[in-house]
Parts: sequence; structure tokens; C-alpha cells
Amino acid sequence: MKDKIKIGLEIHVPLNTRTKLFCNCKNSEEGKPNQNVCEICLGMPGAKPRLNKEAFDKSVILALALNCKINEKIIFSRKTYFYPDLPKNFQITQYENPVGISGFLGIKNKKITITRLQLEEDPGRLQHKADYSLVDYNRSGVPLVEIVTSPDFENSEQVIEFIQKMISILDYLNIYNRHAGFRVDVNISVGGGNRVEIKNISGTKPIQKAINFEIIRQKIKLKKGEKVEQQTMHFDNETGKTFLSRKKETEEDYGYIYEPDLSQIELDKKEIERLKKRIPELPFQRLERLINEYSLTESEAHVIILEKSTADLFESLSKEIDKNILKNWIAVTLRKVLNYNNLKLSETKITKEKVKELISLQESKKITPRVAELVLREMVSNDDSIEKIISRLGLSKMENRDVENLVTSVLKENKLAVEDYRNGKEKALQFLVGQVVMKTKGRANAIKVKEEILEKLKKIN
Amino acid sequence: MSLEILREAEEINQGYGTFVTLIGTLQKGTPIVVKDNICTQGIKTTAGSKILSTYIPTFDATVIKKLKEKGFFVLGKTTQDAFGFGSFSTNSAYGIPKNPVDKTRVCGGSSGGTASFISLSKNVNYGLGQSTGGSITCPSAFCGVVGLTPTYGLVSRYGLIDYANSFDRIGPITKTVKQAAELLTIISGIDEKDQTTYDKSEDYTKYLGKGIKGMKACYIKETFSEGVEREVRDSVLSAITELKKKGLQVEEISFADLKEMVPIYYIIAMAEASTNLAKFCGMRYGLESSPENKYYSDYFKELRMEFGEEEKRRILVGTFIRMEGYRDAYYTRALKLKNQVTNQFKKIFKMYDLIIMPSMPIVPPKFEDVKKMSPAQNYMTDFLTIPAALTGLPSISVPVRKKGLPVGIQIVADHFNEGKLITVGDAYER
Repeated sequence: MKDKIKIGLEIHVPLNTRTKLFCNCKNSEEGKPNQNVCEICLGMPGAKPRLNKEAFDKSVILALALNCKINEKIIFSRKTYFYPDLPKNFQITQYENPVGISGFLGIKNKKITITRLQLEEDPGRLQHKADYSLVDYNRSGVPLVEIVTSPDFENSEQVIEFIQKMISILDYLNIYNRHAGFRVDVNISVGGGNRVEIKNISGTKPIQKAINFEIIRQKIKLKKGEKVEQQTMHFDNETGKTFLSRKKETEEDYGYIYEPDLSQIELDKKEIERLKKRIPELPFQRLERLINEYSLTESEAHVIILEKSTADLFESLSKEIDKNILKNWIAVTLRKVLNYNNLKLSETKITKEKVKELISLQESKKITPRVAELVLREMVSNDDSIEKIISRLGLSKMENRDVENLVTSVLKENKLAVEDYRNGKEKALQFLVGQVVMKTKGRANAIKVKEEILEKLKKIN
Repeated sequence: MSLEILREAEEINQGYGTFVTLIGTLQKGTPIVVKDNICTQGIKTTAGSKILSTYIPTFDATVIKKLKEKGFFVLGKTTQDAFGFGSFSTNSAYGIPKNPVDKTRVCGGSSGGTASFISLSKNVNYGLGQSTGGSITCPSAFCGVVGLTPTYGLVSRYGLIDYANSFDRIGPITKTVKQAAELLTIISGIDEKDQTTYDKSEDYTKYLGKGIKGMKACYIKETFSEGVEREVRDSVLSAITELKKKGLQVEEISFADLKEMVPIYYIIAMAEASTNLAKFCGMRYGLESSPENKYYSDYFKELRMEFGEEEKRRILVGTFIRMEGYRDAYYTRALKLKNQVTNQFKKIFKMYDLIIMPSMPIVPPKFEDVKKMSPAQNYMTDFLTIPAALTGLPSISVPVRKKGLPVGIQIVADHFNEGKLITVGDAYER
């Protein structure tokens, strides 16, 4: 018990609504600073907020998907603090009556309690210069969902699993503005000591690094017999260290009152049912189903369901393409290309029809797997036909004679390697194959090339 | 005609200090004067506070938009207590408006400039006031004009600079009940920009010229007793006699906790006000100073010293009320009591169409006497207007005295029953 670690999270998720939470400004940080602003999100005297129905519905849908109880009365509150990025010097958020309470999300062998889920507005963005700061209010009023968990996590691995699961759910619900990125506040206490809050970390890697660093920092303090103070910290991704925040946020009194400009919301059962219907099969449900229905291994299924669009692709093509080829293709090739580009399938120009065509070209040996992958990379941002892409990249199939000629020249250029091979070094043969394949830009099949090389070497003998 | 309007307005302003901004150019249409906390596009809007001395809104309040569509033009923006914080218009950063009957006396607040000007002008009949705790009724009674405070949610607050959003209401201040009915017809109605509005607007002129026979009213005993000046009581009671003659049934009831509503109201009002005033920090609009070599919190602190005394008082008290450890005892409890009081009034309206009481417990006091009042005494003068303010009920104040210092009769109706107020007010005037 002495080293018992407790970690709790506050996750801030920007929603992908068309407009901001309380005004008609575009919910987008693209364009010039302070371009998507109006009297409401600038907090001009006289302006009043009006709730964006789309944002509200999306927050309820997420609460339902996370097994939350929807509050009978949902009320917005004012949280007062002075900061230059906050136009009204109060934030419209939720306090006593958030959208959802008492939900949960399961991870491996553990159920993480979600204490509350609330809808609130994002402040603007500060940019600090040498001796002055700039404020961009394009982000001011962007709808955020804040998800607060109990301190149920015991290590950073559980946290990362939870966050990845959460991202996947957000993707399935299609409510998350992925490009804006989520931000996480992490609360950590070791051995029943004081709680330290690390604010505003984004990205799974930094979150993991920050947690691991902070656990060690606290453990060392405890070992020395020192006390861990309750404080707010920040994480520097460059140095990989947490550092003390200038503002003593834990001591602040926000003086919450109800937001009198927004009437309270009472959702009836019918409305809740209507919103429930908008929840599709969720990733963990789909995982189970795919494993059973298509006899996939858990890890294959896991990669395929990661994104709703890849799982949809798998299921719709599974009737037309051999399942074993398809699952490899989607879980390995496609995943690799998407990760490389940091894009979701739905954000690319890749279509179901083209994937089908590409796989069948590969299966009928008209192109090599390597060429298929190169073409797929092109397809991400280009909607030319596959034929056109192949010819543009100079990847059309090689005639046997061309391969023969290439082999001849590679053998000539690499006499040393040829010598090595003859002296029994198998690796030299691999090297020669590699050289040829490289020169064909992957168009030639490596096995064929190998046969050809062996043939040639025999002949030279 | 138009030149004459400008000349007269200029003259009244010089004698009585009714305007923060007087538009000096000729315009077409019907003139209206507007309290300076209602946003007017391109016209400076200060809410009576120094901190907003340079604020020029980029948009019109919904009521202004509606009035412009009906051929009105804004003649001027009128003086008021800063942010509506006051009952006598003496907390103004732009000159203190005077009583039209006696310049040594106050004209009431916080919509003082509008009421004083409407009373004095021969040419202008329409004014917009705004009430949080009685700021339409009070100056209307003190200046001898008609003031109508509509049900909370009947008129859009979009473009109104907030005092306490739960109570703030925009309403007509006019010479006659008929003009008030006309104005209310134009400015009322649901507004997508103010989510607390309702689709309850009517043509209120249809309630004019109707008999009041069969209508049932009550007056609250306690509103004619302790703390109410004799000449006020006598004037209002004789007005009630006149109404009875015209056919109104009137009974006496008792409402013991009336004065308890004052602290309930002020707790909620100040809690909200202190958050509303947080935004004024010298960034983006309004008063600014040099940020050179200052950390942002020092800059904010320094600039906020420019608030007037009453503004500072309400920010401090309002912030205290919201603090952890005090919030439940004051703010949360006041909200509960507010609902209780509202239910009490709803019960009364099951039996009566109207509640009658004096508009203010006193005749307009002299400036020198107001100076001697403590803040608590000052707040207590609102005890007759606060019941309707706290509960969002509509009320009308109609002048009941032809000579001497003005006195008003206050008539309160159930939510969205403005029609009854107009019928009775109009019947009294005839």
C-alpha cells in the first residue's frame, strides 16, 4: 500500500461542430488570427450566449456512449477567473448539473469510473513573445467536452489504453475535432500522499512520459522522507520533466454561479432515446463481433476496428475478397499508409472501389505488393485512376527481358558481392536481389529476381 | 419640427442633465430616447460608467433593431446610475439628472435620464428604460410619467449591458399608458439571440379603452404601513378609490415577509453583477491604459480602480457571496427563497387579477438627503419594487398626482398579463 499509485484524468475533447458553442462563428482555427470572432465570443458588453444544439446533442451522445446517467436538469455555470485569453473573465461551463454523471469505460481487467462529463467553452489561444503576448480568439467559444475520471488508474499503460479507447469511441461517434487535439490534465498521488496535477498535456506519448516522470519524482521525494505538496505542474516535452506552474491554481476560488443567460435543460426520455439511436456499434462491441464473425485474432481485429472507416471497409469488402488477403491488407498495408500520413481513412481520397481494384491487381500478380503500396500512398491525396498512377510513377509491369538486363548489369557492378556469394556468403545473394528490386522501383518480384540471378550465375560458371 | 426637437432636447439636457450622448443631427421618423446601457450601433454606449467611456458597440440591441424597423430614431442616450446600480441616478459618471418638478430633488433611478426627459419634453413621447430591481418604476413615479416593466422574458435583452441577467428587463417609459402599449407591442417577442425570451408578444393596444368592471384586485396591507410616507399613502389610496368607482373590485390582503425580499434580491443581483463586471479590464474595448512593464493581473487591477464606489462595493459584496464556504449560505439559499416567493405570488394571482401598491415608499428626496443615506437605507427604498423584480412579474407605474411632488401607483399582474396592466392603467387615466 505504501507505493500505491492513484491517477485520475480530466480529458478535454474539442467537438467537430460547424459553429462555436454559443455563437454562429465557424468552429475552425484555420485562417488568420481573430478572423472567426464576433461580439459573443469576444464577450462584448451587451452580447449574450445562445446554446448550439448540435454541440449539446453531441455531448449527450458521448455521455450515453460512456454509460453516464444524464442529469434531469442540465445547467450551465459561470467559472470566474482573470486571464487574457478569457474574454468575459468567466468561462461558461458546468458545475452542479453537468450533462452526464457516473459513467464508466472498461479497459483490460478494469473498469474506470467516469465521475462527470460536461460541456464548456474553450478560451482563446495565447502566444508568448519575448516581452509581450498575443491573443487569438478564433478558439474562444469552441465547444469542449470535459471528461473527468475517478483516480482509478495505477500506471501510465492503463491511462494510455483508456485514452486510445476513448479516441476510438470519439471517432465512431464522429463528434471529435481530431485536428484540434485533445488536452489532458493528470492527477497523480503516490502512497496516499498529496495529489499533484499536471495540466494541459496533449498527445499520448507526452502523457505517458509525464506520468512516468512524475511517479518517479514523487517516489524519490517519499524515499527521502520528504512530503509531496499539493501543486499544479506543467510538463515540458523537450526535457521530459514536470515543472511547477507559476499560478497557484489549486488555491483558486472560482465563485461559481448559474449562467443566467441560458435556461436550464430538461431532457425527456423520448429525446434521450432519439439521441441513443445515433450511437453506432461502438469499437469494443465491433471488436468482439469481428473476432467471432470473421475468426480474426484479437490483434488483427484491434487494428481493423481502430477507425470506424477501416472497419466499415473490411466488412463491406469481405464478401468480395478473400478474407485472409483482405485482413492483412487492411491491418498492415493500409494501416501503415494511414499512420504515415496521420490521416483517417475518411480524410483521404481512398475509396472502397479502388482498394478492391488494387487488391485484385496484386492478387492476379499484375503488380507486386510493393507497387500496390506505392500506389496506395499516392491514392491518399490523389483521385486519379490506378492505371494513371501506375504509369505516372513508372511502375508498370516489367517485361522479363528488362529484368534479365537489370540482373546482368547489377552482377557486373557488384563483382565483390558475386565473389562473396561464391565463397558461401548467403547474405551476398540477398544484397544482389535487393539491388535489382531497388532499380525496378519494386516492380519486380523478389523471388523471380532471385531465380534469375541464380540462373545467371550458373550460366557464367 | 425636427429642429425644434433638437433645440428642446439640448435645452432640457443643459438644465436637467438627462443625456450622456445627444445626437445632434436631423433624422427622419419618431424620436425615442434610450437608456445608455442599451447597445446602439455606432453610438457610444457607456451604461453610465467611466469604464465604458469609449465603448462604441458594433451592433444594435434587438429592441433598437425592432424600433428602427418601425421608423423610430435614437435621439439620445440617457443618464443613469452606472450599470443600474442605484435608485436615484446619483451614481452616474456623466452628470446627475434632476427631477423635472424640483431641481433640488432626484429623478429616481436607475433609468433617471429617460424618465426626467420624457416628463419635460413637449415633443418626445417615447423612452426606453431598463429595470433590474425597480429602475423603470422608481424614476417613472418620481418624474410623473408612465413606466411599464414587462414580464421577464417578454422583451429581448440582447444588446443590454448586464447588471443581473436573472432580473434585467427593458421596458417603455412614456407620457401615457397608450404610448406604453404601442411601444411594448413593438419591442416584445421571442428572440433567438436571447434564450430566456418567450413567444408571448401581443398587440397590446387592443387592451386600451376597455372597462375594468369585474376585474379583481388586492392591495397588500404592509405596502401602506411602516416605512411608507403619508402623502404617498394618501395619494395612492385615493387613486384606489377612483378605480373602485370605475368598477374595480379591491380587497385587502396581508403579505408579512415583504421586506425579506430585499436581501434575497440583492444577494442574487450582486452575485451576478460581480461576474458581469469581471469582463471590464481594459482589454478589447472601453477604457484602456498603458500596459508597458506590467504583468496582466497588475494591469487589470490598476484599470479596475476606475470603477465608481457603488460598482466596487457590488463587485466586492457579490464576489464574497460566491466564495466557497459562503456560497451555500447566501447565493444558493437566496435562489431557493426566490422560488418560494414566486410561488407565494402565483397563489395570490389564482384569486386576483392584480396587486396594487405604491410605486415608491417616498416622494423624490432632495440630493442632500440622499447623500446622508447609508447603502442599506438606500437599498431599502426599493422594497416596493423588489417583489415584482425578484419574481419576474410585470408591473406598471402610473402617476396619481396632478400637483406637488409626483407619486406613482404600482400595479402588478401575473406573468404575461401585461394586457390587464394596460387596461387598468388606461382606465385610470381616462
